[in-house]
Amino acid sequence: MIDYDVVVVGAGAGGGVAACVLAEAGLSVLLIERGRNLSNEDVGRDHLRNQRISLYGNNAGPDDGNPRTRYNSRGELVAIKPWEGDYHNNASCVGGGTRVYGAQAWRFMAQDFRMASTYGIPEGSSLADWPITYEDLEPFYTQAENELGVCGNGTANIYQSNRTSDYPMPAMDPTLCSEKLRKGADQLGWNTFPVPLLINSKTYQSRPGCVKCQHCVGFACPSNSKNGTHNTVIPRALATGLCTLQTDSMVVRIEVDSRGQTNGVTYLSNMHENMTAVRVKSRAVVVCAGAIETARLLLNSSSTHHPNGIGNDNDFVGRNLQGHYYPGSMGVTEEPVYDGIGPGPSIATCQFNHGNEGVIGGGMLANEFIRLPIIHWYRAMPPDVPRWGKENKEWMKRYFTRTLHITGPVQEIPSPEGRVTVNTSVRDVYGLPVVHLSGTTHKETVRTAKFMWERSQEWLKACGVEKLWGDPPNYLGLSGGQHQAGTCRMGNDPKTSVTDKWGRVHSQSNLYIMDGSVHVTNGGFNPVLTILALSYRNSRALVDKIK
Amino acid sequence: MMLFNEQELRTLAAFMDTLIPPDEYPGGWDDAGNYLLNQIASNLKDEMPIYKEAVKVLKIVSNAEYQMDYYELNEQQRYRIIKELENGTIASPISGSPPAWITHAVRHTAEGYYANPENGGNPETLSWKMIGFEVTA
Repeated sequence: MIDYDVVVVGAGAGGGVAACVLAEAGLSVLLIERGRNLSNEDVGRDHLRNQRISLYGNNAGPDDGNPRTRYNSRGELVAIKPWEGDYHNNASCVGGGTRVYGAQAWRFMAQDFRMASTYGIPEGSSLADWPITYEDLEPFYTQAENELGVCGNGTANIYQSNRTSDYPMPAMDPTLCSEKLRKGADQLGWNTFPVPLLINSKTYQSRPGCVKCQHCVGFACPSNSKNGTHNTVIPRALATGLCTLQTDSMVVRIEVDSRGQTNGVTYLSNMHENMTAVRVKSRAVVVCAGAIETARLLLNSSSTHHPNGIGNDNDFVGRNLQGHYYPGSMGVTEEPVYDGIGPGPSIATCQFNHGNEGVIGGGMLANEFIRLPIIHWYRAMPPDVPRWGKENKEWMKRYFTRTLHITGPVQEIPSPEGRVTVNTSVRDVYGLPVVHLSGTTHKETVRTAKFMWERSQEWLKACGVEKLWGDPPNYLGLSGGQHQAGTCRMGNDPKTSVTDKWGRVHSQSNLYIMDGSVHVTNGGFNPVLTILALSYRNSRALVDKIK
Repeated sequence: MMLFNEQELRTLAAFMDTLIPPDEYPGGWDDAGNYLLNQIASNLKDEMPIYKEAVKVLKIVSNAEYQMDYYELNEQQRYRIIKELENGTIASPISGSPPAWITHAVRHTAEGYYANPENGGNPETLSWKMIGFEVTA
């Protein structure tokens, strides 16, 4: 007897789409989410506790009691709280990161799926091609853009790979900032275009157009115009009557039958009230907990059949953790460039995603989201302005509205040593081994990041800034955070990958992964549209298989 | 329970007003003092000792340099003492590290000054008006 056709673990980007596709195909679905279904009031507008700056807490989960560990520079094991940077948090709530994200809606480029073939494999890296191509994913990028809702200009980016249709909504209007930056880019001969956004630029699917507020990235949308899974595909899944959303509940184990094949999960139900352990049986399990927690769940699901964790026969689960380096530059102008029109990112270039002499890959560059005043104070002041006193105050007064900031995600060159393992000596509040983070990305990433930093400097110089600053990236670190990816990469060879090209775990007939974990590489772009598109593609394949 | 006695509070106020001086807009104490006291009673409990150290050092140094308490000094004198404690020209008269507590106090004062009023500082979003950050929706 089965309880549900499919259990979906995690109601974020990938899980939301999976639940919708499966339920609309007539399958019964249990969608389990560790966090809660947060109202806008729950998310709030705390400038010290949000997804953008989290000094004393966060606004989209997880709660304290769920530490991760790492070794610090003195070799001491330290426990990290969810709002500390080294935690590499995304979010824990219905919608996952999409509840509070900045909603940049980028497609990867064709070369991003063929990084090893295009550039060769640097020594010590695990750079590889994807087992699928851009063309395989293109129809599902289109589906994601249409079903969630993306605004943009489908013809303005001359470097994008082939699109079969335009965005369903026109781009947002230019801003004072984007106009200034466009003039600079024009002088350099760089192609620029509006940033594609998972935000309604006009009424779409009965929800209104963006009200252009100043609290977009890191917060909930006041007009419900920002499109996450919480207000698009998850309501559709629930409307079928076939999907049950179980919040405040965490899957602790993927269960297997006597042959070692997945047959359901055990989860802790209602963790903040009458917590009980519940065992459910299903025909398939789809894990979408984010690249860090997905790896943790697989590793914590060891059994006699899978002593090192399920899907981990070749010690590959948790390796190749990647996110993005974000090199950038800032400068100030004589005239104001701030008009208060949110969300902020309004001009980008893909001039340097590929084809750069002497480096591997590259990345997109764009202007930054509107900065909260305290974020401006912490992160957007030149190093030679005193941190206190009259000069500091005068700088804030004059230059908050005159600061340009160019930045962008650099495609990382993965290393197998940048990884997620579980720490059995440190337990969370429920007694489960926590995530241990270790290693770094590959050193080639730093070279590419320096190259992109130089481009950000070049762009601002062309804008005639009075003063230019921002350090070149010169450190080797571990990325993850909101762009976490790579820990259960897909591939054709079970020895060097965790899932096949449909997201199915190699050793399992019915265990799937549909989040950033399966990304072989992570593009020089915000990865959410790729997560959504992959989930559309692979959920459809799962329906075809089990229906 | 009072976290600071009256004299310590007056020193703390003068210190915060040196970090963000009042002009046509409020200084650090008026705009962020309430935030800091809230924080020291909650999230920043562990930092109470460094603020105790700060007011003690400021009292000792200002009396040694000017034969007055810190809160009795003029703006230039207050500035000079913090600057010279920060760069080491004036050594701490007690154990501890002035650059460390100055750095913490600078951050906390700015947090109170520029964050949303619900955190206890920035009344009537005065600092946002000062810099041009307007919330429209």
